[in-house]
Amino acid sequence: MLDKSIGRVLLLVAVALIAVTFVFVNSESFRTAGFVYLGLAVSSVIIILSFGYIKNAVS
Amino acid sequence: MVELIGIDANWREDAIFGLVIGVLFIVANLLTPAISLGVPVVLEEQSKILIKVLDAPILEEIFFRVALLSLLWLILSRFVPSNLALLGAVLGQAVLFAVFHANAYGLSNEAALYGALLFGVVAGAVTFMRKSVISSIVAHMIFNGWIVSKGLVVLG
Repeated sequence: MLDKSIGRVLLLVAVALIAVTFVFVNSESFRTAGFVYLGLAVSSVIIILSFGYIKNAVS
Repeated sequence: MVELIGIDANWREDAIFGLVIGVLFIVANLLTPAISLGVPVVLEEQSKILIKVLDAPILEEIFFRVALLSLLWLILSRFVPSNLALLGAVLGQAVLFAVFHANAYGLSNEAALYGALLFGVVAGAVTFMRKSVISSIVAHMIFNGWIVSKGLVVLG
């Protein structure tokens, strides 16, 4: 049960991060500051490293 | 599915495969200028050319072709059969890859949208078939390098 909750939270965080990155990718200052790649990198790390938890939460 | 990152003993073969795909995209771009991911170079951004050619392909490919493809496949496979879920995941990540690029260049840039969509589908399929993201990273690097070398800057 706890695993499932952790998975849901991690999935929510990753999706929120992806959404913010996608929305602000056309902002010059956001891009220049490197936040676009930071957003992609952090959400990739969350999804890849916690894939087991997310799988548990989704299934 | 996260094993799609696939850095194994076959990495040289994957890299050569990626090289071939990158060259094919360059040829396609020469024949059909609509398949383009670039916009005219801005002088102050030229200092970032190496970063665009090296870090963008690695980060984007790991994000779209490993993390997002796996996540979409996982979610879709709850609702549809496995093969259909895989097809949906490949198409879904390609659409998001296109939206990401079109948004970066301005949504009116249709060339970026179509080029990124086509590349996304090919790279997604190749990553799944070879169980490795190395081919698509190399193809992305080759294509971005070519775009930059012909006087365009690649924003992502």
